[in-house]
Amino acid sequence: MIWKKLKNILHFDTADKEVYADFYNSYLQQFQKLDTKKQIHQQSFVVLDTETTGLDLVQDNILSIGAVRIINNTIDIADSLSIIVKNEQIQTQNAVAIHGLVQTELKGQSPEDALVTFFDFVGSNIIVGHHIDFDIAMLHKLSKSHGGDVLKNNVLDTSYLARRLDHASDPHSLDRKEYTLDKLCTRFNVVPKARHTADGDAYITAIIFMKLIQKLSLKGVTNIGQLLK
Amino acid sequence: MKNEIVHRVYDFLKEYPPFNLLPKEAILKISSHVVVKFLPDKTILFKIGEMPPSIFYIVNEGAIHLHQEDGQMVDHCDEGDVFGIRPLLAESPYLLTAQSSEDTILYCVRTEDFLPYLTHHPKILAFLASNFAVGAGNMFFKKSTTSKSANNNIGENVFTELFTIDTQKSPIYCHIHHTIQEAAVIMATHQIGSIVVCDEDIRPIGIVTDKDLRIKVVAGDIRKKENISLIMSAPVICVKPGLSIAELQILMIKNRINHLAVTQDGTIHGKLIGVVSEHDLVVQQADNPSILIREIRKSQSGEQLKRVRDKVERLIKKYIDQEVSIPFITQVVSSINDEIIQQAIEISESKLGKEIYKDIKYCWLALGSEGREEQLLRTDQDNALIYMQDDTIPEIKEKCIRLAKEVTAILHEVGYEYCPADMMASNPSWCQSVEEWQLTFHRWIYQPGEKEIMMCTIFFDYRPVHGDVSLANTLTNYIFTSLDKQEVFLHLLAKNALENPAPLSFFRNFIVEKNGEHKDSFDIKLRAMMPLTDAARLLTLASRNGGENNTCNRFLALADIEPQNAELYRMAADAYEILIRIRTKNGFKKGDSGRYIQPNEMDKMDRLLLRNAFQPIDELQKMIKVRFQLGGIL
Repeated sequence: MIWKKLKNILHFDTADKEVYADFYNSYLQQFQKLDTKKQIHQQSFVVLDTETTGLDLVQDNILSIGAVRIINNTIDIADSLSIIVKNEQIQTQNAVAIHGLVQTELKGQSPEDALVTFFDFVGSNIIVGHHIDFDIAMLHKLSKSHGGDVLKNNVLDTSYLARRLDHASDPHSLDRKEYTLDKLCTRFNVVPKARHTADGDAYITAIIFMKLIQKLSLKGVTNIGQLLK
Repeated sequence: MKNEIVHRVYDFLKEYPPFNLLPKEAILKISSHVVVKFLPDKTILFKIGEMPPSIFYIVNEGAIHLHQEDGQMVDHCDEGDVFGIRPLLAESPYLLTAQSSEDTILYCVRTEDFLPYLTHHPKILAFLASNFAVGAGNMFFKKSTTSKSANNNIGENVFTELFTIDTQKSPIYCHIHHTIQEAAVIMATHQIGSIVVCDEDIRPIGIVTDKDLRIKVVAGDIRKKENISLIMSAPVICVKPGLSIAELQILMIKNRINHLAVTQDGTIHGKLIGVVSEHDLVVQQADNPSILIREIRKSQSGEQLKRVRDKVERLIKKYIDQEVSIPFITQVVSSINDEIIQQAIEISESKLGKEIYKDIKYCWLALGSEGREEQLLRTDQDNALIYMQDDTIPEIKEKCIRLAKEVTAILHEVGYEYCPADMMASNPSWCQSVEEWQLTFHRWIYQPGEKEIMMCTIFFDYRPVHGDVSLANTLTNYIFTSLDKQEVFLHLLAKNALENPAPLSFFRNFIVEKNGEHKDSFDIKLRAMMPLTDAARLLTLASRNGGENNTCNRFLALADIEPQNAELYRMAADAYEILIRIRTKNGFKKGDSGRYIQPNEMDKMDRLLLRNAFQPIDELQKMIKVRFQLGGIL
């Protein structure tokens, strides 16, 4: 018995990457490869946004995650995600002197619980977000620091899709600054309410995403392969 | 934790009926289960004959068109409009096809979240009932417009509380031992399409309709000598008396039946009091203010507007018959009249070219009784137009006059006679810029002759009905400033107000017209209403209390300002209500504006009421005489 335990520790110490936390193992187990021939409206997407303590990938942390699922141009509000991640740093620093703001930071889920909920929600869906690379990087950091690893899902950036809509042959030539979430809200007639909350922004992005893929479909982008191109 | 997405949906739903009638917690709960659906342009949401899923829809953004089978559009739903409820309650297939007419976002609401509130919120029932009636009632109108105006909700929350089906008439029924033929004879005699079958104690057992006779007897093999119970449907759904239209309608839809039996205790064990058919409900619904307003907004010609205005007349008659309060009736009817004027302007602008009028700032003014919000039956037109002079627009006055000609012609078609004195916006001297109007009033106020004073009495009751209200307000302010510098004008107005003395000294008879077409009839407008309107206008102007035009409301406002005369003013307000009621009743009897009354044709009660209504006129006139020191002038 003791030997077995020791072996386990030794095993861990050799830094074998195959041993993951449960949340990530379940994620890997359910994960299915994408069918690129699928029509867009048959595919499910998870549109997400995170709020963080700042923009530094090393120092800053995720405060909250918001996400909604889109299938066939439909969002079920009951099937949406709104997680506040309990920030352990703040908790230890202010264990005694607790004021209102910290109090709220103390609420929410532990990072472990948040990861379980999030990875379960995201499944094999295509991930969509506005300037999504940063959110993905922050999520990877959180995942890795709790025994998980990277997301294997395909990812779509609404900022990029909007530029692709305007300039199909060379989207990157267009100025990113002209494609902020606020500017797309104005353009697609979405009321920018509850901005800068993760779930609020996720919802706004989802509405914009549906309008974008509708416009792209008029330009011949109808299946998943074409959309991910 | 507060979920922002749920709150976003909540913030939207709480603005629109029926959700705005629910408590916050209920809307939040509904919001948390909403499904958001994006529908690209020209996408079909559902088709005729499909069974509905257990959800209904509210348009968040964009627009949905509901079509009949032949492709004719029945309804246009845009932001905040609810549709698709009826088939859910009835659990029957969709009767219409829904298609987006632009890129559209819908919120899909689960029926199960909503149904629990139906029974507890009569206003929701009312809303739904009016909603259903709209779907069924206006199929004959081809096009719809989406003009939104401030009094969007008029009628929505008032009509059901006012109306209950009259089930007090003695019910027609047949006995269970009658033969089919005997029952059919009773139906034929009373010209009814269905009959309730009762036991010895007049308790309903079943119901037989025309259809049963057609299918089971005429086309079937049951002989007419056989017992009625062979073809009746049983049991009958029973209700207790005093339910609202909305409740009855929901019951019919839920049970998919067209008739309800009204019994004393609402069960099949109670004595039959009456029968309500879906047709009864439709007839009552057709005259519901909110539905009339929707029909007005869909009208594209004077002829269509006239059809709606004729229905308004029926509504007024019903209100009068049911002794509904006059302030309520005048408020509802003024809103409807305003809608008609607005729609007449809308139609005219479209005909002449919207782009011409896009940049012209103008305001349509209602004068006279419509200006005072007390017009019930159609009278002559009194209107005017005020516009902002703009030198960059060529021929601005001509354009306004051209518009006014169209509008007055449409109103004429609706049944408002042209004003014999040509006091209409189509007359160049009643279609003026702000500066011109100020000059006109300046002349009236500073050089007042008899004609000028009369113009003032007509014009001082103006009310903006359409367009830029600030233009009318500028004019009002100008008039008040001018009055401050010209006190003598009010004295002349006071003199004018005394021109028609109280019509009756206590024991004498009515003063009747001595000459002309209306010889021997009593002119209720000139002899009784005008003295009160004039007094109210004068005293309101003297107290510088602008913004109130309605004679009753003017008296009530004066009662607040002058507590020492409050009793008299309240009496005057009551008297005026009685006069409106009597005039309207007379109008219905004669089929005209009701102005001339035959005193000997009035029933005793009305004669007495009328006589009492004269009393405050005399007292008011005495007071005016003292206050404006008219002893010497007269």
